Amino acid sequence: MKHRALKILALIGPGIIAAAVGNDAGGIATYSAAGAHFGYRLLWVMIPITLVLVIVQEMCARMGVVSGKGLSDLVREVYGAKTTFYMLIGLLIANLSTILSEFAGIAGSMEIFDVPRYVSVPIAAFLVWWVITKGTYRSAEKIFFAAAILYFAYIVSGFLARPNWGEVFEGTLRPSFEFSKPYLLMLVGVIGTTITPWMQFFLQSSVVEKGVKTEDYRYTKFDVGIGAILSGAVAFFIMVASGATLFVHGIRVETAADAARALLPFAGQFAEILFAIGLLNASILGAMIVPLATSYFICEGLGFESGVNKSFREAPWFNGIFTVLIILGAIPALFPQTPLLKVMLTAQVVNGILLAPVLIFIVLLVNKKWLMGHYTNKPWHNVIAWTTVVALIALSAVLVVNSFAEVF
Amino acid sequence: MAFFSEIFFSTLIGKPVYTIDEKYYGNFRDFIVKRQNGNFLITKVRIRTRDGHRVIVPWHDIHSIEADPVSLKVNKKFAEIAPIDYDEDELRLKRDILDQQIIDTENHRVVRVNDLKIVAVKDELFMVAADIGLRGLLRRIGLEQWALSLAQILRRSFSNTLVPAKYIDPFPARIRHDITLTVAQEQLKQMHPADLADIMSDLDHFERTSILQALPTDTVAKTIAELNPEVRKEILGKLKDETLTQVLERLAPDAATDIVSELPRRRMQHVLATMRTSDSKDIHELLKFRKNTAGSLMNTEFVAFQKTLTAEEALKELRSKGQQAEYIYYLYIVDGEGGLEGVISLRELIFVEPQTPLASLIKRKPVFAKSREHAKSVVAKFTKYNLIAIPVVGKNKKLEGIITVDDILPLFKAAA
Repeated sequence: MKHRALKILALIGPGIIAAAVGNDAGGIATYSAAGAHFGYRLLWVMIPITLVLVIVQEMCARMGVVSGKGLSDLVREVYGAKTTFYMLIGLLIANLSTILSEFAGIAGSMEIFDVPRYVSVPIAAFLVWWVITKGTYRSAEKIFFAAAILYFAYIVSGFLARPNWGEVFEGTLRPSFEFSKPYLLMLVGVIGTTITPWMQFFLQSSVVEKGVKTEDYRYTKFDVGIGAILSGAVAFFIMVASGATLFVHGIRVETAADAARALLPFAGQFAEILFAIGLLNASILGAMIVPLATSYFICEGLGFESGVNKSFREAPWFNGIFTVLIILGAIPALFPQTPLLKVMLTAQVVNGILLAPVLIFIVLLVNKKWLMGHYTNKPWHNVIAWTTVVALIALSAVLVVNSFAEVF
Repeated sequence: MAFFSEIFFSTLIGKPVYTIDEKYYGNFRDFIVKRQNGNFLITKVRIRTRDGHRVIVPWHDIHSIEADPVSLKVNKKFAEIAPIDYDEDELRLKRDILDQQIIDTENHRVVRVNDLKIVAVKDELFMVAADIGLRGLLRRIGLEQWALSLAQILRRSFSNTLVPAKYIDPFPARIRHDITLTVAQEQLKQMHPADLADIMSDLDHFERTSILQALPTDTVAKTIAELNPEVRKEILGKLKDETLTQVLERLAPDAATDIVSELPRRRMQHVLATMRTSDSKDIHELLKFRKNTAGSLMNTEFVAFQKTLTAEEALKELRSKGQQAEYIYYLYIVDGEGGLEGVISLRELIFVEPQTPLASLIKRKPVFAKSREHAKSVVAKFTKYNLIAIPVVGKNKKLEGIITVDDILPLFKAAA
């Protein structure tokens, strides 16, 4: 019994970290806005979303364990260079906007503590670069894991906002559906920010990195499940916090930092600080993982030398890509005039477009007998997987069309 | 027959195939190849027919390959085409090599294949090289011409990066978790363990296991000793206890101890218990020393002689016992209790009169390290006295082992 508990602890991590990273600055902003604009009326969505997240991520984790390869490697090996190249270009653009919103999140949350962005952003950029170049994944994993635990700050701030729990339960258990454009868009936005293409790449790679044996896969499954539930819970409490305060007083917010500030008069300074710390933590975590992960996927898929302990000469593309991503992500965050909302919408559009092929690849690959042996999907599993994929694609199509209209 | 002299494989994929009477038959999918004298000989062609079937025809059924526009022609009419199957030892270029990772056994690295170079010699086709460069990648994406014009404007040459076929070791991706792949290739077996260790760190765990299975235990042992601790930990976790025991028995005690000390306690005890007692005793001794002390660095297999022996007797003893020792250029002279008295070189031993007593060869007090001495000060002694090896002594100056310069080298690197 003791042996098993140790084993679970040793294998746990990738799923929880991946799910935590999913709740990044953009996610927090979306959930806050969802709570502020619609109160508790979107809470029920978190239950199906969490289920969908588990379904999708379980497939990626399984593929990682059984094949020992990352998603971009598999796409390259099965679907060829051209497909991989355009997919990775999409991922690069989407992730650049994500990185930008992470740095903006750092700037915004530090301003709540009266640290100007001209100080916080360069320091954060340097810190991120330092951890990437000097750390190893295994040492970094511990930091990431600790950071993932800090997400509980949001759950606490959800309680501090003193919501009407009766209404919260009602909003959670009784799906309310509106056929209004803002409601639908917010719904799609919440889904899109929870299930992103790059997270699937990240989860699969970290499962591979962990070197989980196929016979220990059930522990990883457990890890993925817990991760998705925690991530759903965090999103849920962010919505509760802003629903209990901002929605009641009719305050609209666009960024997560706005939401933190707006909490002050209604939920007290402690809630504001907790919210800001949560945002800072999420943004730094995202700013560390997204550039590094992006660089890895691109280099592995295209066959460039990669690895954190390789010099610029040995791995020019790898080092070049993440360095440029950090710089391009940090610079716009220095200027308060940067249209963050547009950046976020762009990220959502590209992510939405990318999500369709990535999900299709995942389900197709996980069903390949020669790759997965008897670990392919069971028939009922495929029905659920394809239904999920079709539903997600339809929803992200709605989002893409609409955001496209707004950006251009 | 009309064939090109050379072509890149990617330019053939999906191109139309016609029958001898100029009727459209299907599209080219893949070549089936067999290793032959370092190159890969094309034996069969895989075609997707117009009604969606995949058929395989022998290479000798191909009449010609046209270059502009690219197309293939079969030397038969539609009704005469008889599909065949391929053998187990044959590979498919597109499925098994193109876009996959291969080991470049010449440069000791793992690379991804962007394209394959095909050459025609008389009536036969050969895959002669893998293109692993940027130009090959751009060709696949469809940007090669664009990049070439850019290179011309910049007056730069933009050439292909090719790995000759004889240095290619493919990893077919078939059900990797089930089948034990044996990529037992000569090139790989002849590689230096340090180079193999470099390759290991670039591979995933299935590939690592498959390589380890293909190599002789001796090489496996030396490669594991060269790996960086993180990769090593993962590989050790996957090795069976018996294999691990065999590996450890083949290593010098100091290297084996390094590995054993990284194991979880329970496994450590189990592995030590199943080893030959002579080997496990050495490891038990070495495990007592704290990390970064002379004791933890030393090797317990050395050559020492009683000071009462003559040169002739010593040489005789060296021939019979010296095989085990890692290092015999310095020979250690000890008293009856095994206390260190002096050091002589092999050279000195060979060139003196056979009857000379060893005691008379000792010129000065030997330089030595105490087993509890810190590694840093051992390094300092190496540099100060220009040593290749240093004896390590315990209580009462008893000789316990030696540290050779290659045990110390990693510390130099860390200090630099």
